[in-house]
Amino acid sequence: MIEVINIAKYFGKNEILKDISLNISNSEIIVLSGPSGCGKTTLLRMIAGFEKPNKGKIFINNREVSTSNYLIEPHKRQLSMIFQDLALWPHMTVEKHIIFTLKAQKLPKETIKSKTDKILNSIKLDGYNRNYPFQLSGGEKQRLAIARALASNARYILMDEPFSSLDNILKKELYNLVIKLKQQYNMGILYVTHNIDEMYEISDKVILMKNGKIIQSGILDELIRNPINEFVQQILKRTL
Amino acid sequence: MKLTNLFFFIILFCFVILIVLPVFYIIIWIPLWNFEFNIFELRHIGLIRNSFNIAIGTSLSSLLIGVLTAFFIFDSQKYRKLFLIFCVIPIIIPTYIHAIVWNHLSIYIQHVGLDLHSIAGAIFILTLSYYSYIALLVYSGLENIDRNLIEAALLSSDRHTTLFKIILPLIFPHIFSGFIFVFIFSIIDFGVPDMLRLNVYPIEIFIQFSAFYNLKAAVTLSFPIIFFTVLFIFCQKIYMKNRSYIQIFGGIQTKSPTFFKSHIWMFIAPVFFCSSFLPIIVLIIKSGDFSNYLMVWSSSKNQLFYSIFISTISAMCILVFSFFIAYLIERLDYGLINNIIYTLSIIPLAIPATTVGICMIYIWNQPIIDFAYSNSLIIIFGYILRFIPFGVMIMVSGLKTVNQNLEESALLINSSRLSILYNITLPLLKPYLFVGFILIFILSFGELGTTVLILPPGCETIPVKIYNLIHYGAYEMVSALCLIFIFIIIVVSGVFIFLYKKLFRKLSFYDRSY
Repeated sequence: MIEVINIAKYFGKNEILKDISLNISNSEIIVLSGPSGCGKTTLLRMIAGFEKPNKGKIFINNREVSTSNYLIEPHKRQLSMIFQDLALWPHMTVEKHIIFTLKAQKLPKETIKSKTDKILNSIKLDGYNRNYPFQLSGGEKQRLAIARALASNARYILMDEPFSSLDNILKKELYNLVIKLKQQYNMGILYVTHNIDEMYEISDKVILMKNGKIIQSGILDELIRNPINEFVQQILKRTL
Repeated sequence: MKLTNLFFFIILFCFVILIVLPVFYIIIWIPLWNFEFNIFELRHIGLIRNSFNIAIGTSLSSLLIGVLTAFFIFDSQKYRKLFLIFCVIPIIIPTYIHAIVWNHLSIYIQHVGLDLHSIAGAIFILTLSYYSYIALLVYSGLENIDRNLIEAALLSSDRHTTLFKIILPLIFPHIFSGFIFVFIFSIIDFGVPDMLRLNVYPIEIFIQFSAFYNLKAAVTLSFPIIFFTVLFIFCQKIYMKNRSYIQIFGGIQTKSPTFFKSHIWMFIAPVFFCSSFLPIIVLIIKSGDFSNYLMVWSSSKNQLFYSIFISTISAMCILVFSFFIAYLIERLDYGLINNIIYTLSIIPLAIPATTVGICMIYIWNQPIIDFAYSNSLIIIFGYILRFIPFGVMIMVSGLKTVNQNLEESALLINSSRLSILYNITLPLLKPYLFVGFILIFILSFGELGTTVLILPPGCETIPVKIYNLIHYGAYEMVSALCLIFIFIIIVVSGVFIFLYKKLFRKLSFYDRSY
């Protein structure tokens, strides 16, 4: 479980995150939403270990990983992140993305080969082994990003608006893939989006943020039925 | 992480020894303990005036010609590559070779009313050498403007309004940087004033050291130039903030609209002719028959190979060193320390070549550490100090173009920063490494001001040989040697550009991938 306890973050005098607490369990998809600049990406980056909190603590599987003066390196956190721009390495082929990730786990050569084939097959990217990211379609790029996360042996995935640039048909296909990650691989997923449809499709729980604070959290239907204030009502109403 | 920390500690240690120590010695230690030497006496004020007149005159005229040339190249869709080559030639030819060529033509120039052995003559020659820097920087700025911005402006206003209200403000950082660079290059230039026998600071520094062996006076004399140029560098840094002025990627998205009428070529053609072709034509004529080339070749081939060897090693060392310094500056967040490292690595740009040479002698001619003094290592150390700013600027610009998410996504997987550098960052920086190598190789190959002072016994580079031959009055040999020199630079750069283009084709998908 990822436990975020009373986290605060300042950039200069700007308080980006104020007293944030949340939990992410295995086999759970939590959707994080809120207006631009409310601190969603900063929160993700702190969980990933790219930023240190100014206050509060983060635990992953009961192990303290971040405090204001202590930070466990990102690769030791057993989590992966899918960035908004996907951050695929443009000079590496599809296969090399997976091999580079598996090599970091110091696996034997044969295991790397077989695991690469297995992962690409499971994510329907077999046959694209020697393609570079620019030779892939939008959906294929997303799948490669997910394949890389799978190869990293992560138990949690942080997703920062990964499907925002895709059409609805592709999105549907990828929602199923995200749900498969949860069900088949027992992964805990923290998923950032502005899109209410995505909340409906994949969320087990929704957290709504504004100005660095959690405004309301819970199951989506509950939030829609009992919005705590007008802001929550507006944000959930917008695309209904 | 321990290995990575040790590695960066070694880089920082080298940085302190090779950059910080000489800079500290030049700008603080000697001026502080040398009060008796009065830099404000009348003669020195005259030298400052001469140096500043040359620098300001060169920068302003280069600005005018450079900006017009950049627009001319940008407008000429069909022959862009050809004109870019014309623009690169003056950079390949060192300033002292430009001066040698124009010295041959001084009689004809006098008829036009220009005395070549004057401040105006120096401005004329330096402008022909340096306008290309502004032209190429401004052209790179124009290339990287989003065409949609221009087209959006053209929908509501005419070409001239678009030019003055949209394009010029967008490329102003490039114009400003070009101006600062040319100012600095011309204020510390040694070759042209030496050939024209002009009294400017770099010459006086050289005289103080070589004629009077007054080391402290020589270094103290550099202080006013360094002070003002550092001031300019700070202005540039404050103005540029985090923007990058060297962009290798970009390329043309759509056909761009033209901004100048076609008869601008009547202005640009003589500039191209005088800066790119005339030097080569004059050298061919002055070098005499073919036997001179053979004679020069047989008497100078050792020096040629030595120059190629020393420039290649220096360029490689500078590039590797610059990469890690730039990485420290751009990627490791130490706040103020990053700014201090950047400033310290850029300051050598303001130090005259002769001062660098003197400083090298002072530092490395000490007991215990004199192992570098009597061999080629001192030249490499001198070149590192002289050209590290170029390496750092290119690498910092390169790192700014690499999306940090690419490295962060690797950090989630891999423990070793060195492995991420090798597998992710370096491959993405290849174009910058190639361009950096060519530029630093050209600069090192043509270096004179430092080399002439620190050359170890038994070694000679081509620029020093040219310098010595000029003082013996062997003009035919000088011309032939200059031509061979230019030919070697063109061949080496050509090979690298060919390799770069082959690689670039493979790499060009980088910026298309997202």
